[in-house]
Amino acid sequence: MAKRRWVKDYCPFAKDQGFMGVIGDVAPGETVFGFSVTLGASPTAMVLRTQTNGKVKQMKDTYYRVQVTKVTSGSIVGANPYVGLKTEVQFSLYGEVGATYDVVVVGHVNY
Amino acid sequence: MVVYNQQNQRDICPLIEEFHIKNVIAGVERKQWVIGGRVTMGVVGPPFTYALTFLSLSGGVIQNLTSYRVLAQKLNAQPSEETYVVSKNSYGVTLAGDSGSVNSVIILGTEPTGKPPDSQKKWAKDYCPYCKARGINAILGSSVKDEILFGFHATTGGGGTYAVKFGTVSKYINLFALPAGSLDNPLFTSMADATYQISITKAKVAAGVVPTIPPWASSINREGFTLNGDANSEYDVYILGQILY
Repeated sequence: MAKRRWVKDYCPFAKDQGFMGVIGDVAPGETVFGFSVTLGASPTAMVLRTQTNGKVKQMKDTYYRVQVTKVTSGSIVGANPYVGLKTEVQFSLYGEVGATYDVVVVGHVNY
Repeated sequence: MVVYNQQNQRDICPLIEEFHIKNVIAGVERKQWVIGGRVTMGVVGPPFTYALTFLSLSGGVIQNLTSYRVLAQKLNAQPSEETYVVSKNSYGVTLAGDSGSVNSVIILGTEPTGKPPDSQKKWAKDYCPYCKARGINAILGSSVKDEILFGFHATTGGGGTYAVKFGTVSKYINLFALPAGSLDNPLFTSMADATYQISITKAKVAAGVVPTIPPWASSINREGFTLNGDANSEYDVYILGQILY
């Protein structure tokens, strides 16, 4: 294969969607997904099935990784968000009550 | 006991070898992108802000996203004000943080298809036998070649730091899925350069512990970086960038 070519030159789905390339991973078999959530309490259980509208029902294990960024308009970070109590079906998000957070998860999904 | 398929995807997908991405990461939306870059906050404020557009972050490939998630992480110095999102619209996002601070930004976003309804029904698995064989419904688009997204877990020492070496952490990225004895073989040792994106969040399987210091990354080079945070604490970390081959 000529290196000057892109994934879209080989992959019909990438070409159809306009993807120049595709995102790789180091570990095999992982999935990335994300959602936004506004905390009504801290902590709040992030039930994966609920937050992803059923697209992710549960993870294969608790080794998945979670990243969180505050996205509440015009509001500085008063308390740093953090994560705990990971299980295959949910984890707890700790942060500011009433604040909105973007959450991204990478790990093995149990389809 | 959970059983994982340890066959490397490069054995079945020709793109893996050609584009040096080791494996393809799956998605749960039909058409999603991952884009990233570094931005420097303004020095006039507060708030000290940076307004980025998807066009600039993607090198002119992506103009608008219908929905997206943003990860922002200050680099090189301890945050006095943790980076956050001031506003979002379809064409970009405005971030705020410390004056003049350098930040990694990673965006996971869904793009409008701009396609007739018939073609919108198809997913990557409907086109690609490799994806279908691996149970991958969707793949994520990239605006650059050879880019990977991966994560690992790290625990700081008593001094509140952890020296991340990719040659070490990549022995443990998939620890739970690797057969015994495989820890001697790091999955990779170096990034292609030091401009990769980093995101850090305090996280553990047990009950969470309140962060007293916002986590940040320093001494960033191709082989790794220093993770800074609370002493003896656990962190989840993402990296977006190109691996050196």
